Amino acid sequence: MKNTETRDDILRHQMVGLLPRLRRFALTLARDPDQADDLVQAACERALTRFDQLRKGTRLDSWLYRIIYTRWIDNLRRKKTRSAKLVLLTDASRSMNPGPDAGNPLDTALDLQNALNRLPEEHQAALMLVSVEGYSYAEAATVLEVPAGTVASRVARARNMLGRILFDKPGKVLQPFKYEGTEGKK
Amino acid sequence: MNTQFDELTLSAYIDGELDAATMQEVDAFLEKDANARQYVLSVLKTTARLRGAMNATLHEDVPEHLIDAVRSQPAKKEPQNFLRHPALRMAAAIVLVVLGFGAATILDRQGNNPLPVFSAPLPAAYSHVVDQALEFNRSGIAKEWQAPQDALVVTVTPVKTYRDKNDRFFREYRLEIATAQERQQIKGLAYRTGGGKWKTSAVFYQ
Repeated sequence: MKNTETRDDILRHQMVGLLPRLRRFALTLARDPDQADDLVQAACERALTRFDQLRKGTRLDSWLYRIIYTRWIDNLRRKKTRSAKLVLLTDASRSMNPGPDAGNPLDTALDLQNALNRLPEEHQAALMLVSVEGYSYAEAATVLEVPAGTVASRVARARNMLGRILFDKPGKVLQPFKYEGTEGKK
Repeated sequence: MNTQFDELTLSAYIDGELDAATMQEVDAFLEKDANARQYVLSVLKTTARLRGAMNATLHEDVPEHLIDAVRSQPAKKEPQNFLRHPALRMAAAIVLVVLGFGAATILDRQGNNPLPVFSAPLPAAYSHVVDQALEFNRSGIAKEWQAPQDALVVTVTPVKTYRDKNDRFFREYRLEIATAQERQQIKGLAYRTGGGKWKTSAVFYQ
């Protein structure tokens, strides 16, 4: 079937182009580069056998993110373990260079990654899709298969958690973003 | 407008998720409220840094094996060469003999179309795994059993549950026979006979 082959080729080409972003998203979830690549590979292999399920109008990246996310959650349910490899590595690098170093961009990046790694998966995923990928709440909702309102609250909560993790320690690198309001909060 | 906005609304404001009217109200509010301004600014700064930190992955070389996996992976799974491993052939033969069907009949079909086999008691060695899985496990939760004398592992996973007009429970299940080298799958349909026992009424090879 020539048409199918052509579509197949185009989709494969697009998938190769998306691999860096897929790896970035998978790394957020898996926290370990090897596991992230395994996750991307497994998701791609799954996607390749299901091209016929990719409907017109569905974004290929969203579809692939959804496969990655679903697969990761399934893995978690099976294993009920989380990799701490990335956290340990970055903690080790920090212990070799003690003391606050707010001016060091690498230090800030590690702080942020560590803080992100400590968020619950569903909050991480929502924050990544909205804040890093630039997805709307509705688009992120289709990836995560939850209502858009849930995405909104997960993103807001992730931001607050991130703030608490980042700034509840010596040598803080950014201003905390806990907003208390002026007339009481709901 | 003397409206108080919570973090959820401010977060949605940052993400451009508010309607135009609410956006304007938040704009006006931010003009007046230093705490809210500080909150929005801090979130924006952290988001920018988060994006910068996560973008490092985008600049790395993608491992070749990932690119190969996308370029070379067959689009559709090829039908598996049914029961290549001798141990699996033997295991399947045991099942088929007990089922009362000639093994050649099944093997010739190569699994291209599901082949129902009716009135099929499984061998005792397997049926207790099926009984336990169907009696105690929820759908999707596997029960595993290691054959004592060889390297076979039998895994039974309930897939779906039905109830007929006579309140008799039926369950679809997946039976996987695996060795260190290979893994093959059979699907079954069983009904509950009582006392923790299930009778397999059909087996499908795929």
